[in-house]
Amino acid sequence: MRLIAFTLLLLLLITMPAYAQPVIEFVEMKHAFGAVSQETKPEHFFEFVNRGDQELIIQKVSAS
Amino acid sequence: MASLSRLKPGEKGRIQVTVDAAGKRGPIVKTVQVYSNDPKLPVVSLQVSMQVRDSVHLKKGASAGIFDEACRSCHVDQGRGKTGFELFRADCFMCHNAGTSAQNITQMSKRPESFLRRVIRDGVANSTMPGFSQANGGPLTEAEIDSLVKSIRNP
Ligand code: HEC
Ligand code: HEC
Repeated sequence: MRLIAFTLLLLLLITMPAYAQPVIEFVEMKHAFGAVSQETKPEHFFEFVNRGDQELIIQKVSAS
Repeated sequence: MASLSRLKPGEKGRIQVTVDAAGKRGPIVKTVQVYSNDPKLPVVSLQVSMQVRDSVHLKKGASAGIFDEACRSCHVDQGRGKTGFELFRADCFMCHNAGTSAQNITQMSKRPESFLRRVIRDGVANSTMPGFSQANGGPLTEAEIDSLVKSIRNP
């Protein structure tokens, strides 16, 4: 009985965090504009989805 | 930049990336870091790349008219009065130097003289290599082409 309780707890510990979390998933992470003119400001949208079961929070977006 | 900063499970969002190409030239790569509370992937790197061209070079691989009025200040006039390696530097380096797509002078030095002479005179079909001989509408005399061939063979 103690063994079962222990394994149950272990199972919970292992599986819990794998479910209760936000998961960020991008459709694509690279984009090639090809040849662009100096006069333009090329623009692109990267789409993503929250695949997890918790709220996903985008904290910061920084360019380098 | 993100259209939504808090997303419920299953919800979609997007990150806008804009690059200002003004004053830039050549290959450009920009990366953007996205920080989130996803414990497995707290930072995602997004990348955009582009080849920035000024208006005369917008059409890639178009060397038609390269010896004409609009182009000669850079592609012809610099080489006027020069011969040998000096001429190569003025007229050919922009396409045939380390970092450019066509081969450099060391690579082409292994080619036979007759081949070099023919290519410089007539160009290479389906490429941006123009025919430089006057018979092909180019700026170079036979003597100038000869000096190029000699200098390529003995760099
Ligand atoms: C202000 C100087 C300048 C003018 C004017 C100019 N070019 Fe160029 N060109 C360059 C330089 C420098 C390069 C080397 C590549 C680079 O730095 O972009 C080049 C490279 C090229 C290339 C090889 C690279 C490619 O895009 O495939 C072609 C073809 C070319 N030029 C064609 C032309 C034509 C056609 C014209 C006229 C309509 C012209 N150029 C006018 C300076 C010039
Ligand atoms: C506008 C760009 C451009 C200019 C200017 C240019 N070339 Fe080229 N050249 C090319 C391209 C593209 C090729 C074909 C690809 C390659 O051989 O790398 C080529 C091929 C060649 C080849 C054949 C190489 C081989 O072994 O197959 C020779 C030789 C050559 N060029 C010599 C010259 C010389 C000499 C000049 C200056 C008088 C010159 N080129 C100017 C673009 C250019």
